[in-house]
Amino acid sequence: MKTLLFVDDDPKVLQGLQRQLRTMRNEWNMNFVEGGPQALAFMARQPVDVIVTDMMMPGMDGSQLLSEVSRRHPQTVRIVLSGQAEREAVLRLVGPAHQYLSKPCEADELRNAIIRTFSLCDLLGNEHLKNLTARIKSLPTLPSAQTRLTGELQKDAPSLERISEIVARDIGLTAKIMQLVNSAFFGLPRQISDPQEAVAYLGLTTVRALALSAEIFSQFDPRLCQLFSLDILERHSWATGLLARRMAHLERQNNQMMDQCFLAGLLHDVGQLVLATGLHEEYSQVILQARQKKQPVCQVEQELFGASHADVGAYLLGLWGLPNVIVEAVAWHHQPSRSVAAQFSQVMAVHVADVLIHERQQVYTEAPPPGLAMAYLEKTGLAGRIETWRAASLENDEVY
Amino acid sequence: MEKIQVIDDEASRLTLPKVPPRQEAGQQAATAKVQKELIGTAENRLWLMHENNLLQVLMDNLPDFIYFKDVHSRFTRINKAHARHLGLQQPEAAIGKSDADFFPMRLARQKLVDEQCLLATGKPILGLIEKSDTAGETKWLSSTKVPIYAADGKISGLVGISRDITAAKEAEMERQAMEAQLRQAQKLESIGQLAAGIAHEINTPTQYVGDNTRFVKDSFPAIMQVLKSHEDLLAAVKNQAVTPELIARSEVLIKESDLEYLYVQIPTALGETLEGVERVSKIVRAMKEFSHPGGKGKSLADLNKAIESTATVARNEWKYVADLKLELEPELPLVPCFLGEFNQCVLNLIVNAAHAIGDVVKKNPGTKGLITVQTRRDGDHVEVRVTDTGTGIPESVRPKIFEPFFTTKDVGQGTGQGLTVVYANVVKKHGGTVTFETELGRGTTFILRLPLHPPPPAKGGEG
Repeated sequence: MKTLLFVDDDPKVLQGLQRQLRTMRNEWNMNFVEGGPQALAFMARQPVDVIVTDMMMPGMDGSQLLSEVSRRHPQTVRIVLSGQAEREAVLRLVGPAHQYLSKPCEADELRNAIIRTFSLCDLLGNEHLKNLTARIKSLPTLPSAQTRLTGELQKDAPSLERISEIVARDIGLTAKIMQLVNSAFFGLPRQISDPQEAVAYLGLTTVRALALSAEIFSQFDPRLCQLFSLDILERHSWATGLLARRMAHLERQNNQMMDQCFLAGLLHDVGQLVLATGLHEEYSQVILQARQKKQPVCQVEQELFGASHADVGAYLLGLWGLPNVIVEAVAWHHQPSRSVAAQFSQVMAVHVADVLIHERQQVYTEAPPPGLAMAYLEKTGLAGRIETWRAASLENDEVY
Repeated sequence: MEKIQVIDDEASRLTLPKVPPRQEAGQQAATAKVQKELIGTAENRLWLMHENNLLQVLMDNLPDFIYFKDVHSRFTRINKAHARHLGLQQPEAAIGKSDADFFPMRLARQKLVDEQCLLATGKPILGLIEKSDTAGETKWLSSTKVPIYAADGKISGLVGISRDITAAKEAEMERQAMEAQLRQAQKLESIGQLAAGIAHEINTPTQYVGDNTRFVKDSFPAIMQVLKSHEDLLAAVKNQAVTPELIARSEVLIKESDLEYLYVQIPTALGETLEGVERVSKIVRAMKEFSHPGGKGKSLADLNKAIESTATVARNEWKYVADLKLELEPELPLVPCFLGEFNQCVLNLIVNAAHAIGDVVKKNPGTKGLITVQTRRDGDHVEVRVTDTGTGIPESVRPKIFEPFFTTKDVGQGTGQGLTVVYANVVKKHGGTVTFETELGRGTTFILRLPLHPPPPAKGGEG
């Protein structure tokens, strides 16, 4: 049975939640406490899978509570359920909270958010990797991206377009901004997958506040995992995103699909970044073995960790509340046949784009590209499109 | 150099200014006598020329407007500065003309009335602030006009000096506009801050109102099933057709429907839902009262009610750090006031109190302070006291707290206008007083005193 802990200084809110979630009582062990200190005391006695907390509370507020929880119990999924209306408030939560929900919150919305995190937990079997991923507040970025972004933000009239491009070329920044803009806090009627739209929606003030916050901007330290190059990963991701979008265009998909293909392509290897920064020694081993034995990286990861960077990346993006289609595309980009889609999909776009870009970038990575899932392509009747897509991958040399 | 013409009769008028006899009469008479004796000789003419020359130099070079008028308010002589103001090339062009030839009708008539009154009574006009519009420009003048007495003791005309105070007047008006703007900005700032707090205050009960209502709705089908099975059972009892299956079915349904839980929870859920709805409507009512549009004039207001609304609206600002106690005199008379401005004052004081307590609570987590708002009648005044158990105001800061933009709060916490606005609203708009008592480490009390019978507002100039 999963254990949940709800924290709110207003007992009426807790009772309302308790009644509303009563139907789940046989599956969930639900607990309700009226403040941060009580929550920490509870968690010291028994492990909690998901904590759902109010933000404004006397004494210890939600942000302080979740920071403490992430330190003491990193594996616990941290969700905020707050009635706060000002944007500044959410910036304080960008680090410690995985997801934010707004009061008043539909019961289904809360229930689904919780159920979704449980299904994510099943996605990643390795407990150690789970802790590692849940503890992550932000992903490291390249110093050059940092310099360019702060430089642009310091201008008298910063250009939203240039800022969007800097963000879109950076895996960590894009993931963080997507987490924020897709959170229920902003209450957008639809999910956003286009980094430019996300930046435009958040506005310069919020983006600036994010960029200046040390929580968001951690620099990547290349010395830790010397065989891993974030620069190459980012170039590969950018190229994959562009090609996935181009493929969607060639298949006459709508704009939303094209945006999602791009975002999933850009973020598909985010798990590598998590592993290379969190487990740098072990990950150096992975890369070394892949090169020496000429094995695809994901195969070596599976062998050594019992999970691949696809699982880790999907787990992180799921925790952060990114759209499901993106999480699935990232999770299955090596095994698209796990998708139920019987036609062109985000999963397929990312899978094929990843392989085609690897074919071209092999010189840098030295490890062989993972193979194309030909059986799945045949089944969906799209195998015949491969050469068109490959030609598209050759069109634009600039991106490699 | 301009040639100075000396005109006898005018010179005599000039050199024989006779101030009203009541002023140092003897001395004046002696001077007049000496001057009379001097007139007529050649030396005297030279002396006169010299005197007139001095006068002309003075008139031509003073930036102030100088003008002489006869008993019909017609110009007899003006200086260059005034000629320029009237749009004339030469001062002589004004002779024989009157204000009606230069100024709009209304203004000219006003000047004529003032001057005729002066000419009739001999009462001088001192430092009158008047607006003066001529073709294309508007000036503000400070004018002094005094009568001129002829030898026979009768008033023969007047001399006026007007100083152009347009720049000072504009600066003053700008300052007033700026102050009004600042007050508005502070109001907007606090409304913005309040809006976020109010949204939070409303979102919280809305959460459990929704949860509880959905809970009742979701429970109802199970209750209905139990009732239906009981109906069937009842019908069977009547027909003496009760079967073990029917009884078993009812028992299963009762067990499945979680009835014990529902018996307890549904009434509580409905009660809390009604409480939540009441809380939301209380906030909405308070908002309506707080955002009183505050018309142009004062109206009689129930300050107790205003304080209650303001405390409700500001609840999100204080509830995490303090409790709030209202000690309001039930028999408090209605007070003539600008309600919007008064609410603003109370809000600012409560928010300040909460911040002062917040600083204490930060050092002692887990504790809460107390804000007390009291009202009472004290003779011709009503007193409002806002007391906090906060940090108190350090001695060095005390003289400065009402100064605009003075703040000890962090950037983003306040603009240093809260108390300035309180002072301006209470003292300037209501003729009341603001004082405070403070002790470091113990807290602060702000005391507002509003008069029950304020004197009618003093008439300023125009506007």
